Amino acid sequence: MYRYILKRILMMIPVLIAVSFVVYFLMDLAPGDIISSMAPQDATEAEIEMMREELGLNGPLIQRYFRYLGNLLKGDMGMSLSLKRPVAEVFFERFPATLQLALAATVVAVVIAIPLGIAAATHHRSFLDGFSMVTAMLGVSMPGFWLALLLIMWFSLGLKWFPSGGSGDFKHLVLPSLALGAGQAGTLTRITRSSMLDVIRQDYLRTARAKGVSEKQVIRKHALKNALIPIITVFGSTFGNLLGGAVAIETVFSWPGIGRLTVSAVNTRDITLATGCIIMFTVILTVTMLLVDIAYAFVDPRIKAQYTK
Amino acid sequence: MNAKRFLALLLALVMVSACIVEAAADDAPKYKEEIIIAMADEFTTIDPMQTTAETNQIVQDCTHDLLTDTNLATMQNEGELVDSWEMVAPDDWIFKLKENVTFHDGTILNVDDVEFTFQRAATISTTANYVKPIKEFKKIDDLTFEVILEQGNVDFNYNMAANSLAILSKEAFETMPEEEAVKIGTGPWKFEEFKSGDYVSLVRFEESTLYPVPNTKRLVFRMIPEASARMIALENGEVDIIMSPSATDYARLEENPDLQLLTEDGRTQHFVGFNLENENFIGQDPKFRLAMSKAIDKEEMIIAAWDGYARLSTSMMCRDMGFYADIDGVAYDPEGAQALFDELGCDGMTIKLVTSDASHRVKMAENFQAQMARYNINVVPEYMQNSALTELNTGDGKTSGVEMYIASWTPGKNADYMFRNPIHSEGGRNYSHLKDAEIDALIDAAALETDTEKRAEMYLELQEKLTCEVIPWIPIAQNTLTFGAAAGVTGALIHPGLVHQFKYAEKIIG
Repeated sequence: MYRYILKRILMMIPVLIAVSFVVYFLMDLAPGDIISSMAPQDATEAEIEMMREELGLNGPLIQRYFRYLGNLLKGDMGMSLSLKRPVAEVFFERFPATLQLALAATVVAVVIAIPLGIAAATHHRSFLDGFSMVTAMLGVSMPGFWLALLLIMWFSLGLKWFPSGGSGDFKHLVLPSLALGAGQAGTLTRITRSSMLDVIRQDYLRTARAKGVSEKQVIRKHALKNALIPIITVFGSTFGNLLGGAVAIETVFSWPGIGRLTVSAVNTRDITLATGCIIMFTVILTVTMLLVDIAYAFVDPRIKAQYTK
Repeated sequence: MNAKRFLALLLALVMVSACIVEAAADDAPKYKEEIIIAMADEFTTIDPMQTTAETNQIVQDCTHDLLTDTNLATMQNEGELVDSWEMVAPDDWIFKLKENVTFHDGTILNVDDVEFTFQRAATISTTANYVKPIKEFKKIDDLTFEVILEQGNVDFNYNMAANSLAILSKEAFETMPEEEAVKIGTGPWKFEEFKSGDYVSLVRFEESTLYPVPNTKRLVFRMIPEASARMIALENGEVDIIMSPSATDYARLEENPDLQLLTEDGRTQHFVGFNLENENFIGQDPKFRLAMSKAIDKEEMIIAAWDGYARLSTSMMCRDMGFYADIDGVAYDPEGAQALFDELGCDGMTIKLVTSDASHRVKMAENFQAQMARYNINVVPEYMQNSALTELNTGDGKTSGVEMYIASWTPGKNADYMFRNPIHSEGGRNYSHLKDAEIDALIDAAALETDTEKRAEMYLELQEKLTCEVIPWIPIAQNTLTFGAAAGVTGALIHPGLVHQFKYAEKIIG
C-alpha cells in the first residue's frame, strides 16, 4: 500500500513539470503581456524595458522557463508579477474560501444525491424514479451561473433570506454552495441510481433477502457499500474540480476563491501567478484522486487485497 | 416656603432645559456608521507606488494625499498637501507645504517626507517616470522645498497630482516594516483590513488636522465583479454605492425611489484610429481619413455603444481639460464622404479593424461595420483582450497588420499630457504611429509657453489641425460615468479621470 502511494506521488513530478511547461509557454505565447497593463500610460520604451527586467521578463522564453522550473523544484513558485507578493502566499490566502465552498457544495450534493439515487433505484420505473431523474437532469444541464442568478433573485432579492454575495458567516455560504452543489448532485444522483441498479440485481442480495434480512438492511449494508466505488470515483473527480475553483459561481457571488484569482491572473498576463495557481490545482487534483484510490480499499476488500499482495 | 418654591422652580427649569438639549440632540442628523461601496475590479495593494490601477487609487485616495490634486468642484489643479507654489522659471519651482498635517502614525508632515517619497518613487519602475524630470531637490526649510527640473515644464504642478506620488511618512518607513509603512498616509481614512478578493475596509482618522472628521465611521470597498450582482446588492441594501452599473440598469436606478443614478461627464475620449505606418493601407492618404471623419454618424454610435449616455466629440481634446476649445470639427456628411470614397476608389474595399473585447468597444465596432456597409466598405473587426490590443498597437506599425482600430484615451490632468502620449512621435501611446514634425514642434512649444493666451492659441491650432487635417484618429464621444447609490447617499464624487472620490461619502438615516 505504502509503495503504491509513494509510486503515485513520484508520478506527480513529471505531470507537474509537463503542466508547468504547457501553461508557462501558452501564457507567454498569448498576445499581450503584463507590462501593457502595469506601465503608466506615458511610459517610454526605456522605462518599459526597465520594468521588464525588474519583473524578470527579459531574456529568451526557454531560459526564463528553466529559471522558473529550477525555483519551482526548490518549492519557490516565485512572485506574482501584478501583486508583487509570493504566489504561494496569495494562493493560500484565497484557498480556504475555495475549500470551504467546495466542501459545502459537496455536502449539498451528497445530501441530495445519495438518497435520491437510492430511492430512484429501489423504486425503478416509478414516479419517484422519473422525478429523481428529471431533477438530476435539471441539476446537470442548468448552467451554474444561471441557477446562481435565479437563487439570488428568489432568496436574496425576493425573500431576503440570504445575502446576494460576499463571504463571511454561514448565510453567505448557502446560495453559492447550492448553486455549485446542484450540478454535482445531478451527476451523483445518476451515478448512484445506475450503480445501485447494477448491484440490486446481484444474486447475493437475493440470497440476503431469502435469509430474511430486512429490505432496509439489504440496501444499506449490502447494496450501497458495493455500489459506492463508481460513486466515489465521480465524487473524487468532481470534488477535485471544485477545489480548482468554480469561476462562474465565484464571480456571480463575489466569492474570494482561487477560481477568480486564476482568471484574473490569466487576464492580466501574470504568468507566475497563473502558472502557480494551475500547478497547485494539478497537485490538489492528483492528491484528491490518490485519496479516492485509497478510499477504494476501505470500501472494497478485493482492492485492499491487491495492494497488500 | 420660599426656599422650597425656589428649589421647585429651579428643578423645573433644569428639567425643561434638559428636554430642550435632548430635543436639539435629536434634531442633529444621524449618519449611517458604515458605507459599503461595490467595485467591479479587484483591489490589490495599498502601496500607491505599486500600481496604476484606478481601483487601487480610489482606495488610496481616501488614505493618502498628493501634493496637488484636481478639485472636482472646479476641475482646477489645487494644493492638497501644499499650501502654495511658485514657478520661479519653467525649470525652477518652489512649493510650500501646509502646516501641521498629521500622518496616521502621529508624525507631522515635513519636506523630508516629500524628499523620501520622491527618492522611493525613483527606485520603482511604475513611478520612476514621475520624478525623472527632477534634476535637484532642495530643502529650504521644514515646509518649503525647491525643485530644479532637467527641462522647463510650465505644468509641473500637475505632475505632483499623479496618484502614484502620494506622500508617505519617512518615519514610518524607518520604524515599521515596509508593508505596514505604506499604509500610513495623511488622508481622512486609515487602512483597517484587506481580505484578498473580498473587501478592503477603512476607518475614519479622527486625529486628522487636515480634514474634518467624516460623519461615516467605516468605509468598506467590496469587490463584486458582476454588474448584475452589484445591482442586486444595492437593491437589497447590502451595499450603499455601486460603481459602473450596467447601462441596462439605469432606468431601474432612476425609477426606484430608494435608489439614485449619479452621472458625470467622463474624460475618456473614445475614438476610431488609423495605422499610419501600414504602407498597404489607404489610410495613409489624408483624404481617406477625412472621408471617414465625414462618414461616421457619431450620434448613432453613441446610442449603440452607450444607450445615449455619452457626449459627442467634435475635438480630439477632452472637454474638461484646460485649453479645450469648442471647435466644430468635421461634421457628419454622408454625401461628402461618399464623394471622397468614390474619388479614392473605395467601393467594395475591406478594412481590418482591431479593438478590445470590452462591451462598448464591441458595440462601437459593430456599429462602425454597419455604418461603413452603407458606403459599400467591408469592415472586418477582430476582438482581443485589452493587453493584447495595447501590445499590438504599440508594436511596429509596419508589420502589425493593423489598418484601423478602436481605442480610448483618458488623459491625466494637463493639456500637454492630452497630446504628448497619443500624438507626439515619441509618445508611449501613439497607436496611430503619427510622425509629424510640425505637430511635435507645436506640442513641445505649447508645453513651454508661459503666456496663457499664446498657449491657448497653440492648443487651438493643435486641435484644429489634428481633428480636421491630420486626423490620426476620429474622436467619437466621451462617455458618461455613472454610480448607482441608495437614496440619501451624498459625497460620492465621480472623477472624470476615473479615480473617484469617497472621502466624504455619507448617508443620513434620521
